[in-house]
Amino acid sequence: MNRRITISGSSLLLPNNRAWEKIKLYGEVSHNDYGDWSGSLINAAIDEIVVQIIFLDDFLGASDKTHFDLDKIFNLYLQLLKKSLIAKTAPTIIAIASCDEIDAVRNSKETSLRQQAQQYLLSSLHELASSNALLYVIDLDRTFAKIGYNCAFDSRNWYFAHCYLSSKGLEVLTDTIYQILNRHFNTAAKVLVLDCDNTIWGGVIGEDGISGIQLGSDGLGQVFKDFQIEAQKLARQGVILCLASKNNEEAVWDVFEHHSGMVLTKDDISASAINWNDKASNLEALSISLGVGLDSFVFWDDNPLERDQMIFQAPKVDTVDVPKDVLSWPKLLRTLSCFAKFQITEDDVKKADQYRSRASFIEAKASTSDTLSYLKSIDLRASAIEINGGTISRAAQLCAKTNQFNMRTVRYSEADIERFCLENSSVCFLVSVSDVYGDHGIVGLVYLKKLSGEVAFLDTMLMSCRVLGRHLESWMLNEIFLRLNKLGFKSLVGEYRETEKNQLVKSFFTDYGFTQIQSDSLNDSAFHNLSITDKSTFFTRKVDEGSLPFLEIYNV
Amino acid sequence: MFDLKALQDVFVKTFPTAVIPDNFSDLRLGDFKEWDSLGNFNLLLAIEEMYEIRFDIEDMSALKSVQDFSQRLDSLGVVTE
Repeated sequence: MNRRITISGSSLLLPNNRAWEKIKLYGEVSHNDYGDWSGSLINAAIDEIVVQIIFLDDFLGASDKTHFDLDKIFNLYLQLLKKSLIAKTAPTIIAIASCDEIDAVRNSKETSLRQQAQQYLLSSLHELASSNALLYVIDLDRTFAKIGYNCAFDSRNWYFAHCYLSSKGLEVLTDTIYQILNRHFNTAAKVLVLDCDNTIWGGVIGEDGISGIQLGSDGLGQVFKDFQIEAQKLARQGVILCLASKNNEEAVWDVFEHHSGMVLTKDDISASAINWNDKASNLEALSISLGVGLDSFVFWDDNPLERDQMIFQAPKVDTVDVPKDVLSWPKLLRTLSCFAKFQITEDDVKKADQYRSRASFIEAKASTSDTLSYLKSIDLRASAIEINGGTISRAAQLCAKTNQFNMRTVRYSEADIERFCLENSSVCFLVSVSDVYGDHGIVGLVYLKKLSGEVAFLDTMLMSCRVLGRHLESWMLNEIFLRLNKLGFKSLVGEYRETEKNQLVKSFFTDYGFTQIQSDSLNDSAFHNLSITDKSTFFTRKVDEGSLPFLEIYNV
Repeated sequence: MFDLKALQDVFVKTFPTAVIPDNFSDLRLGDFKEWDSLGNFNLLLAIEEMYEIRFDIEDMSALKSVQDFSQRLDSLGVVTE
């Protein structure tokens, strides 16, 4: 990996300290000389990750002034930052700490100047971050609050070497940076699988019976109820909730329907495996019926034996190291970093419904012998959606997450996609689909660019796996040809770039009437812009070369 | 008595890419490239964490060799065996 990460700050940040090791996963780490934090904004290459740690004392001076002109103090810095973000293709992370120790007496009447300054800078930065997908802001005051201010800072280190932080403080800081980089480069987990007995309620339903389990408003019952509240919140933010429990299925659903303390409803659960099989096999079955890889699964079980078995049999699953102390569970579930996302899109909110309808679609399709007439009967409707401020985050999300139905698997950022939309020779649109099972929301992305006057290149064509089996690709290709025809293009070139996960579309181009291009024809001037990897195969098809298979199942 | 082997582990963890010379008990700041003054600071913090002790500010500038470390750890009552 040749990505560079430049760390800068106004105080010494202990370069080469072990705490920075984890950041090296994301690139080659270098530290600017301390104090040179504006330099990293001015001099960083556009593809360089910039991390800045700012202690407000360095802006404000340590003196005890009674008034600050905040506009004046921060304006230059904010201008510099804005300028540095232009054309940036790698993340910039800004962490700020107020270095403000609370004075209980004075702060009982007014906010301190440092607190005001911190709030001013934070809100300016967050405003910038909301419109710039590559800017991330860390509020170190709140981050450090987790371990305590006195624990995060160390005045000995300050007087010895101008290092504000303690080892512990540095550890927390680098952990936080790591979390952000991790989520920037890797997608969040999608599925939470919960055990039932002693997990979503206290006790064992098979032994204690519905009146004997702990769940509700007193004692431990309250804790399990809070745990369910957190699980439900996750479900409403798009995490797919599943159950894996060794139980009689009827007994579990009986609790769901008849226990007054239950928060989770049957509707919150997208799929379940309640039986006596081993849980690893059950998760594998869930993975197939949901169409989500096991590496997107998180498993929560109170029983350490079940957890160990899962780690051993299904190492791809993220098995939560559940502490014995049940009281800490609701908070732990709320703060699990594997589900943390930068933002929650409207589409995330609908996801539980969509996965449930996927499961019913697969069941119904399996029970029909004539697939085509079945598909005709479910009222499939697709439409193209333009990319704009409201949909661009979904476009970037699809680009980041889609592995299976993805021809080239090039991961574009929001900034990239915004740029494509502005190029006037290219075509970029999203696709949504609905049927009798529900509105599946935005599930596809197409980006076409011009190779020559008459030849277009299918740079990106991808589709979320949850709508597979509906031949939506046929509708998408038709839409592509309609648009290309209108723009005067005569043929389309496509590339299949093989990855570990996109075998599904290996035969897509030949299935849809494309012919493979021999490598010598790639020397033609029309193709000279293509980047060729050893995993690439190229195909071409005329824009008006007859009808497409399966198109009749859509109401075009 | 305090065990040098454990201290050696702290060196390996603090300087993962360094080639640490064999005469460990005689080593001092500057004896290999990574052990510069910043390296020494990181080392002192790692030793503190390892033995759950705290050096005072005089220690931070006075302790510069394996011998210094083991004497100070002895005087702080660190026992690892």
